[in-house]
Amino acid sequence: MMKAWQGLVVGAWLAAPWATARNSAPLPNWSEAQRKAMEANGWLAGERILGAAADGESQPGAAVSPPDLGGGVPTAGLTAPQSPVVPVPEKFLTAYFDAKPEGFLIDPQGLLDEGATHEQLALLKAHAADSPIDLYIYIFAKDQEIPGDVRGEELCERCFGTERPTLLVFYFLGAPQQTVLYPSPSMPEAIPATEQRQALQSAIYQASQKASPPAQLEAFTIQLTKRIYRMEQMLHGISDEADGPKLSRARAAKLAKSSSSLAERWARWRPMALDLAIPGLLIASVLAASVGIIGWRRRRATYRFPELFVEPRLGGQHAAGLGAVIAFASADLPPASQRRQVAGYLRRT
Amino acid sequence: MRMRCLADTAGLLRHDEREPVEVAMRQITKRFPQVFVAIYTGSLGEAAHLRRFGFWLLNRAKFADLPPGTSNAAGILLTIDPETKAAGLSVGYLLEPFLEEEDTFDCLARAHSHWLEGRYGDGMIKALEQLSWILRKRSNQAGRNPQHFARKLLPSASRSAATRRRPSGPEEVER
Repeated sequence: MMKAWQGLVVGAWLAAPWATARNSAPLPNWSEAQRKAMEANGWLAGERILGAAADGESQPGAAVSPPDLGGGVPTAGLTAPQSPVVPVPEKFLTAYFDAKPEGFLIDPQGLLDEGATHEQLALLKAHAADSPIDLYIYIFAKDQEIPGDVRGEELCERCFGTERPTLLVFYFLGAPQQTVLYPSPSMPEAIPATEQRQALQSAIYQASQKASPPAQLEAFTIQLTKRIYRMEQMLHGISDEADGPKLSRARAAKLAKSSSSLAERWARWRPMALDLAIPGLLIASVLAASVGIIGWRRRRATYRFPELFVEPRLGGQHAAGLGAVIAFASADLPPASQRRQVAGYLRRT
Repeated sequence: MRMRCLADTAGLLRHDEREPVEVAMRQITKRFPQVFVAIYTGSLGEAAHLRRFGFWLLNRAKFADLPPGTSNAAGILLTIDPETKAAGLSVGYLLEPFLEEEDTFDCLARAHSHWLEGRYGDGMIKALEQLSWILRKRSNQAGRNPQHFARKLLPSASRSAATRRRPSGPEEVER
């Protein structure tokens, strides 16, 4: 039989979720001013998930209806980015895709306001001035869809096929995660595709940290230009490596030329050299032998002095004390200043 | 007074330094068979004069390791007094016409830096190398022109007479 305290424990365990639900913090609410500011920027955080709750229908104390997650049974496509549903208006297709754009920012629909366009253009121009890899950004609305007959790869080949390395970006304003990156034909050879993918992911991540679409675009562009700088480093490395064989080939050609000229010279001088080789060797060996003999004789040579009669002086039978005396008491003074002069009485008269 | 050619009474040379010094001394004798080198190191005291001591020693010493009949007149004596830090080089009568006081000073000057540092053996070898070079030079000069050295031994009056040139002029021609 269950004891009283066991009954209390089971009751408390069953009541815990209910108590937690009662004590949990209420859902966040937008104030009217915040909501208007966010709507002016064209994006409201949590709008898609919270649905009506984010639209202000949820009031404190009111019953919270579950968010509409798209309805129906969850499918595998739930985690994929929501695809744009409205196609790009046909009247803008020419401006977008017909020819190579004149500027680095392509926004014929005028989705960006004047200030943001100006800032973005300045950013892209500054990048183009510094970098060998150009960056073109096509701006679309977040709910727009690019027509199926427009292919980014084809656009790159048609408009940027003969240009220097270029990156094309289809950017959906307010939905940076939908961005698509297309490299020009000159890019894939030099830069690995993984590097391009990582650059795009990094830029998308930076953009998603910002709230407003213009700020997202700016963050996206800045991060992408940074990653392009890394690609430049790779390009330089590759070009250096590519230059290496060229240089070595040039050096090899130069060496071959000089060696061929040396060979020609040798061929011209060879008969004379052969004629002179034996006499030259003989002369050299005679000279070497002479030097050796002279050195050997000098080492073994003995020297004699003529014996001259010297009159003994001072009663000295063998010597009269001629010779120098030097002191080595001080290291500061040179030997000459520590020389002791010959006494007068010892000098020969 | 009997002594060896290398008499290190002051104990300046280490055991391993003696042999190179003796080799250098033998080299001098080998190249200049008439000459020998003697080295004496010892404290002479304040009263003694290094040059006078060299004069005295070269006249009085009997060098035990020399062939019999070798005269001290062919000797070159290097004396080092470690107490007064002085060194002297004395030569016998045989070399007196050929060596100037300047030559002996050059030999001592070569050893000066070594002796300042207390490396007596190295200094002696350097001095003997310089001496060998000077002796070879003087020997060659004496072989070419012995009169030049013989004239140095003449008294000053005779020397001036010998060097004075006889006047040559019309009178002599007439005679």
